[in-house]
Amino acid sequence: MMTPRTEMVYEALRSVVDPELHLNIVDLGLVYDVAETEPGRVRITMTLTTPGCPVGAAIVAAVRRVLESLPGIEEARVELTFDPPWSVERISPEGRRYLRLV
Amino acid sequence: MMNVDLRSRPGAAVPSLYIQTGLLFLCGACALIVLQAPAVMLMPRHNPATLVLTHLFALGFGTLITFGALFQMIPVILGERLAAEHPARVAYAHFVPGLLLQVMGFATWTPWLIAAGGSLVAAGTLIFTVPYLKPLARKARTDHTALFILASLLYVALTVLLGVALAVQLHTVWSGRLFTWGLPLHMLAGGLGWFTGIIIGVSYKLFPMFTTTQRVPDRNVYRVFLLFQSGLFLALATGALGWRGGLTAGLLLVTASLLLYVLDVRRMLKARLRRRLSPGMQQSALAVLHLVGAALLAGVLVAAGLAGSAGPQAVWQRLGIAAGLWFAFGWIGSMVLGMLSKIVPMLVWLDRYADRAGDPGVPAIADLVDDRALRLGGAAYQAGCIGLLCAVAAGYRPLTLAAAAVLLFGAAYLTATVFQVWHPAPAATPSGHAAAGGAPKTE
Repeated sequence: MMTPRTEMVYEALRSVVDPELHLNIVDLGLVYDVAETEPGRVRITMTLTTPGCPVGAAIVAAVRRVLESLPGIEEARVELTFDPPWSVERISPEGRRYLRLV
Repeated sequence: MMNVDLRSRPGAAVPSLYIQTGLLFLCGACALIVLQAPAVMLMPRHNPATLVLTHLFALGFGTLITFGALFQMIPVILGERLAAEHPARVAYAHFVPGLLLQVMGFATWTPWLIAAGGSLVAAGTLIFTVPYLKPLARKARTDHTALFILASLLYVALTVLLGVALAVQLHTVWSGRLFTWGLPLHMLAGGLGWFTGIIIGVSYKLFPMFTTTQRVPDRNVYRVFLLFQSGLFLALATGALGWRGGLTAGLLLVTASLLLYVLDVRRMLKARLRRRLSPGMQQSALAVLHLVGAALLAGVLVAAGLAGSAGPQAVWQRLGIAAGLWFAFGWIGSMVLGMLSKIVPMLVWLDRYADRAGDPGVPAIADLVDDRALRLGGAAYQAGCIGLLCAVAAGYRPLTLAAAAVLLFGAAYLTATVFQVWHPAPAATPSGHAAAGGAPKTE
C-alpha cells in the first residue's frame, strides 16, 4: 500500500528518462523500492539495465535532483543494486507497448 | 552501492579529438586505395604504398579511435576517476606527428624517417597506455572487460616496439634474421593481440548494452580469453623460434576462441530486447561475419602453405591480400565504425546533457545521430569492402578501382554523419520525454 508521499515520488520519477531506451525509469522497471526513512528523507532503491551503464550516473543524479525539488523532501538517497538484476519482465505493459515488445 | 558519481566521468574533449582524427585517417586510407589501387594490392614487404595504407588504417584509424573510446570507457569500468587527460593529450602530440612522419618515411622510402616517426608513435602509445595498466590490473581480477583491455594494451605496446625494431633494422641492417620473424609477429601482435583482443573484450560489454540484451550469455568469456591469449602467446613465442608446429597449434587455439566468441555474439543478438537493430549494431554484427570469412580464407591459405600446395604464386598472393583486406576493412573497420555510431552520440549526450537528464527538451541519445545517413554510409562501406576484396581476389583492376571508390564514399559519408553529432544542435528533432506510448527511434 503506497502512501501519498511515495505515490508522489513515483509520479516524479516518471519524468526521469533512460536516454538510451528513452523510456521513463518507472515504466522501465528500474525502481525497486521507495521508502521514507525519516520525515523529509527518502531512499530510492533502483537498478540499471546493465551494470557499468555509462549513463547510470546521469540517471542517478537526475533522480536525486527531481526528488529534492519536490515539496517536503530535503534529501533523496539513491541505492543502486543489481540484485536482482533488471529483466524485461519488469517493464510495465505501457512500457512494453512503447518499446514495441508486444 | 556502486560508484555512480558524475564527477568520475571523463570529459569529451580528448576522446573527441582522438575519434575525429581517426575518422579523417580512415578517409585518407580509403583515398589512398583509390589513388594507388594497383600498387597497394602488392605484398607488404618493402612495398611503400601498402605500408602507408596499413599504418594509416591500423594506427591512424583503428588505434586512435580505440584509444579515444577507451579514454571514455575505462573510468566507467573501473568506477574511478583517473588522471589520464594530460597523458592522453601528450600521447596524441607524439602519436599523430609520429604517424605522419612514419608514412612520409614509407612513401619516400627513407628508413631513418620511418624509425623516427615509429619511435614517436611508440612513445605516444606508451604514454597513453601506461597510466591505465595498474588500475586495470587491479580490476582484472573481477572484471573480464578489464582483463581483455589490459592484455590488449600490452599487445599494442609490443606491436609498436616491434615496429620500431623493424624500422631501425631497415636503417641499420643490424639483424638479418629480424625480418624473417619480426614482421609476421608484428602483424600477429597488432591484428590479433591488439585489435581482435580488444574488440572481443569490449564486445561482451557493448553488444548487450547497445542491443539491450537480456541475461547476457557470457559464460564462455573466460574460456575465450584463455584460448585466445594462450594461443596467441604460443604462436608468437614459437613463431619467433621458427617452430612451425607451435605456430600452427597457437593459431588453432586462437581459431577455437574466435569460434566460441562468434557463437556468444549470436546468442547475445538472439537474446536482445528489441528485434530491429540500429545501423551501428548492424555494422557490428556484419563485422563478426567478416571475421568468420577472413579467418576461413586465411585458414585455407595457411593450410595450403603448410601442406606445400603448389599453385600459381600470383593467385596465392592475391588471396592473401584479399584476406588481409577482409580482416582489416571488414572485421576491424566495420566493428569500429559500428560501435562508434553508438559511442559518439553517447559521449556527446553525456557531455552536453548528463547534468540535465530528466529536464524537458533533453533529447534521447539516438536523436543526436541521423540513422538514415548511417544506413546509407554503412551500406556503401559494406558494398565497397566486399567489392574490393572480391576484385582483388579475382585480380580484376577496373572493379578494384570502382569498389575502392564506393568504399571511400561510404567511409566519408559515415565520417560526415558522425561529425554532425558534435554540432551544437541535435541532428534530429528531440523525441520529447517518453512516459509510454510514443515511438522509439532505435532498436
